[in-house]
Amino acid sequence: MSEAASPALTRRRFEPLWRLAGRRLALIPLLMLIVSLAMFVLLHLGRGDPALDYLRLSGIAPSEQAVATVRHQLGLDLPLWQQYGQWLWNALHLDFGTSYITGRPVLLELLNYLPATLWLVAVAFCVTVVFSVLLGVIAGSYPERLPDHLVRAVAFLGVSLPNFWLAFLMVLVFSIWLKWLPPMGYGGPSHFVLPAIAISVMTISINARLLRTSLVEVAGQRHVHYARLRGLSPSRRLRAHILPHALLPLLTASGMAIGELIGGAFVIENIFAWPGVGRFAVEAIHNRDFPVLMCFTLLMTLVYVLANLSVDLVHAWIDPRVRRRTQGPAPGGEHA
Amino acid sequence: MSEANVSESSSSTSHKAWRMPLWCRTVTTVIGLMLVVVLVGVALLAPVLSPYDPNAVDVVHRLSPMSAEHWLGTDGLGRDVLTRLMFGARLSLGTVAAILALVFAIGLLIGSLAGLAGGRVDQYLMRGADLFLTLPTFVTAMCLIGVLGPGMGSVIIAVAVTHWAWYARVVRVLVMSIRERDYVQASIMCGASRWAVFRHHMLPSISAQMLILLTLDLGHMMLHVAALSFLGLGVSPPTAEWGVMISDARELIWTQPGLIIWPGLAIFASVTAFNLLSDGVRDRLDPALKEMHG
Repeated sequence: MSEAASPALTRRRFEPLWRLAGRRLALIPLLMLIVSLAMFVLLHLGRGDPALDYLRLSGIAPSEQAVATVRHQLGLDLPLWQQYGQWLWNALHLDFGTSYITGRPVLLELLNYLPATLWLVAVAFCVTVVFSVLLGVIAGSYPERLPDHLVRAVAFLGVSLPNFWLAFLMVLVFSIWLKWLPPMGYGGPSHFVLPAIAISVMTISINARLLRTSLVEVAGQRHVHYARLRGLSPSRRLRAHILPHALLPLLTASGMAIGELIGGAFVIENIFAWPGVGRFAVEAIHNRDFPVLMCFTLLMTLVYVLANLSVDLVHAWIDPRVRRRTQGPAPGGEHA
Repeated sequence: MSEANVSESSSSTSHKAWRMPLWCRTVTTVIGLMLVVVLVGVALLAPVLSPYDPNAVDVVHRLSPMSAEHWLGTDGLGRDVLTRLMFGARLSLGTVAAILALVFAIGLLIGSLAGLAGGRVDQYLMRGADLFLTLPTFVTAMCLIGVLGPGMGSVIIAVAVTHWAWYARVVRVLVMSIRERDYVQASIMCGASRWAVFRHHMLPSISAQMLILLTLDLGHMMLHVAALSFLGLGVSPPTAEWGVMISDARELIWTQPGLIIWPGLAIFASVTAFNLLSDGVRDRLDPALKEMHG
């Protein structure tokens, strides 16, 4: 590619990493503001009356006077923009209100549950990376041969399996029949095995397929042909010339994978009695516990945005073409 | 550039490789189609095929094993499992159909608006679509249900809202490419209004292509619906729904694993069917799809 010709020119055309990070970080408050506003409007225009929900959850009979008191207490008698302003002001002081059910501060409650979910997602992410690279390389090294077809068949089944059903099947086999692994609970490494696999099967399947396609595509490029002409061994070609390029689309995809894994974790937590944020949130949805819902959505937005940002930064660090200021063809754009 | 290289490489490396014959691909697609037809048939004929009421509680015969009367046994309340599976197919397919209709409508509306209006409107709409493309679908759907309140209607809306963006992009590209065709230009010159051009020249072909493309996401959407109802965010318990059936049977996993295995198998089989079908569609449309993604 021609832009590598003049180093002086190149340096000016690429944005420094810290600037990219700063620019993206600066957008986060704006995003949170938009998300919170949208949530707030939808929650308050939607069906149901928070005051009635509050009374129901507190076990107080909804007499007219009680409703009026609670309305005033929760600030529901103010105009909507004032309510939002008040909520925002409190939120800026990290006060997201108290849960209608437990009566405890929402943020503390959620932060209490968050680590378990994040650990699960982190482990599942590592599992995803290791196995999708392994399977993708196996399939991509033998395109249209038996290993390729096997991996593709497995990946096809993987994207069709409901993760919660897979979790039950694994509990049935490995916990109930073989008694190898604990059927539920949160604790040592053995507790992580089943939930992490159940969540990551879907992302492994998607990413292995992606890597396979990208490997086959890169293997057909001229520099790889040249490497072969120079007499490099297949394994050397794979390591030095094919994989570094072929892995880039996978890096972008792993940002999406994090979202999928978080979603999977929310479902799986319910099966393994995992003390995570997902179980708490599902309960809050059932009970229409508004403060919890608001804080949960914002917290998840933050987690997801930060996770994606770190993936993007790694991407930009490895492949400076991403940081090009002028709008050129994005790297990996051919594979997307 | 890369296209040329790929064909170059496959011609040079594949002289010994065994390629999957084309009919193989067709066969898997046909199997998928047949499975879908069976599924739809079972869903439509459920009341005829089964002598039982899916919600009839029969405490005397609770948890009975597989037998001639109850092919897959009965559940914790003595309800016939096979009957409930068949009625569950109705709900699953109905939900997915509703989601499809909604995605179709939103995608068509926003995509064609962006494609026809162009300029600022196009830019903002597509920025919005990009936002929805990057959001994690399941978590967003969950938050939306939190806002709307649990229920099957909310599930339908939430899944549709998290899946329309890609279709809107496709519709936009289609609109823009059709607009440049000679016959469209000719009819504009003859004084046809924008609406008339859209209605007569764009809508038919775009709708047809969208219907085909919508098969691509069916399996994925079905998994979402199943997972959301498993969490109890969809239908309320007495209704026969696959995800709810699994959730209901979770305490019985130690003694009656069948109650979890069968509904899961039903979800798995129908998602597989739709995915086989969509793989076939993808194979046929691959170059066109790539173009739209870019």
